[in-house]
Amino acid sequence: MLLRPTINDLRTILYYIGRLTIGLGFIFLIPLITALIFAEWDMAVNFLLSFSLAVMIGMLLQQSFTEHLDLNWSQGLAVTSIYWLVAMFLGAIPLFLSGHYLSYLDACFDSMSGFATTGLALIVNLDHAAVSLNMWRHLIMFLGGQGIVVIGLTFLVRGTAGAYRMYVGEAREEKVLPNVIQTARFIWLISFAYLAIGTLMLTLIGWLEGMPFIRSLLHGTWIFMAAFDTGGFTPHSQSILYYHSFPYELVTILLMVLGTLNFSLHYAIWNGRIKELFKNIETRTLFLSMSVLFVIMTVGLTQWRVYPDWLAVFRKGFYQLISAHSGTGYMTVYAPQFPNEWGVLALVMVILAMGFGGSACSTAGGIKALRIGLFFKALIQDVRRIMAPGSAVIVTKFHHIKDLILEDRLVRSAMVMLILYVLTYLAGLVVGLYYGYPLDMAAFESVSAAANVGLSTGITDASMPAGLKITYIIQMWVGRLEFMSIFILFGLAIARFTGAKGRSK
Amino acid sequence: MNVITNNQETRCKKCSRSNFKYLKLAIGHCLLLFVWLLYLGNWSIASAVSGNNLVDLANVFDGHKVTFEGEVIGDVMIRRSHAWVNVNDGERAIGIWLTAAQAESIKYSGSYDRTGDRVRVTGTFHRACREHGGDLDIHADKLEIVVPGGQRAHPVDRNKLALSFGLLGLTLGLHLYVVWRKRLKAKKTLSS
Repeated sequence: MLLRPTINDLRTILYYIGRLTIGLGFIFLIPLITALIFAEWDMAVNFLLSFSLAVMIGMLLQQSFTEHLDLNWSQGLAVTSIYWLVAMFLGAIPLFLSGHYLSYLDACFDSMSGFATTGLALIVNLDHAAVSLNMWRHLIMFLGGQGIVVIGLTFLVRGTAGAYRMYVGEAREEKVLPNVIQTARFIWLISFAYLAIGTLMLTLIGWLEGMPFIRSLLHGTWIFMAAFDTGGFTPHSQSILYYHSFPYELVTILLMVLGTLNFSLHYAIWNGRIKELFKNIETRTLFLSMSVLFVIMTVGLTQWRVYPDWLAVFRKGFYQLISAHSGTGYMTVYAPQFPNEWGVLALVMVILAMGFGGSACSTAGGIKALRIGLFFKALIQDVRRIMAPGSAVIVTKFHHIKDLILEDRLVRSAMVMLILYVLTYLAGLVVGLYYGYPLDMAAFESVSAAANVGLSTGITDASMPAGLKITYIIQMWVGRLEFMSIFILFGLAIARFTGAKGRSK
Repeated sequence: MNVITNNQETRCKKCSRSNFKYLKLAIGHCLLLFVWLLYLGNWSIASAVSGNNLVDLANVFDGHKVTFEGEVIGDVMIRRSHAWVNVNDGERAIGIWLTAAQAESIKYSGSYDRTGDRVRVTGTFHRACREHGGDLDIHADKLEIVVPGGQRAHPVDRNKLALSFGLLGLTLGLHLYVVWRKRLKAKKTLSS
């Protein structure tokens, strides 16, 4: 039985949204300061306007709903799903004011793409974008990857049960540490540690490859943010191809792989448990999946004689595959080269890699390696069960941070998510087909949006139909939050009219 | 009549001779063009090809001489005796591999505050360059500056500026009001 949400539920939701909005407002200060440093006065005005507006809205909400309760499950999940939309609308303001977008919808598209770490972009004339604008684009990717609610949990919300509910709403079921606030802070610690190392490596390579030091530092920071958070935005329209640098590609491969690993795994490695890397079901599944897909992709690319030698197959084929599997979306080929040159076999391997995605509790999107791994474990268990004598008890174990027994409950949960992702991919495909795009291109783009990848065959462009833009925005939102918090939001809306009176726990 | 006939015959002979002369000239030109093409070893496209055409029809242009025109964007990345520049024709940016000496002629590259030099590049197009790990690029033979670049101005919109400061004022006012209310409440609690 659904319980009808009361006015107090709404007050509580709005109070927390207000609080988180203030937090987002203060993040506008980073690009604002960048604009002032680089004397980009018009951009500074845009960020000042966005900062003032966000803080004012946040304060108004917070002050209007001072009497609030601790969040229950449905409120926590609803706060997360609504707040992601609020963040999209507010984050789009400086993008739109920059003059690089044909409409506010396009700016919203890029804002959601950034927060959801997708990397699909509708920006025009990117090669002339301001430093502060690029800072904002990459910053939202970095924040979105960590989870914009995680930021709130770290700095604004005290360690309550409600905090955990918001955290779960952002598709983070696992607590790396016993306390959710400690978990959020660990995520930040690890991200900043990698930020320092990754930025340094990219800066040095950029500088040695002929870029001025300041630009190589800026590019290094941005490319790190979008690689480690499996985002995919770049400061130039050619993506990673802009750098024409093999060392740059190698470092971004390393960062994409690190970004796609589970934060629990990072914690284990952080504490010297290197063996976890080889025992964990997720890393095993990822390794197996990447290997199989790469072999088949290579067959496809070789069959069509797409690349002249093995180095080119690695730099183009393997790079795109890692980019797809990690959910990053960095490209070393031009978008139309996928449908024009790659052939169907290689293209399908990229689509599958995007659909499978990275690890759970990471910044990657897609179905996730853990669920794929559990699905295959369950399949093998069922085959063994059929083959074994009737009285035999088949127990399957797997290792994910600790040794676990494969229970039906886990398999059911994995299967539900798998089916939901496949249905979301199909929904985007149908809309793409409706607008007249070919099957392979529509499938590629739909999976890329819903799995928060960002690779493109060229459909994603400022000139694409508004209906398709909205479809992809919804796919990115749904895919990033992994359905539940959005279902709860709709459930609350339905319960407002059909539910019984009472308060849910 | 005879005279006329003779004249006609004479004219016709002249005509056929002159026609033959033009035909010989045409064949000669064709042969010259053919030899020139053989010398280049490739089909050359006199007018500039667009970035979208190069990418969409990469198989057609692969290995051929092309002319590409656009604005230099980003960085001129010197790599020993050569350099990479990226040239954007408004549709798509393409990587150009050229000598460091050719790159020296580029004074402006496009960014937020600069319009890059507009250059015309003639060179060999590669769909998947063997030398550069499969990159789609052009190896430049010739680079000429068509229009020099310059500074770009970004004037501040006064209305936007006024709105920004207005909103900032309102936000600060709201904050002060909240602080004042909190203090008042605290005082009341203390006094009671």
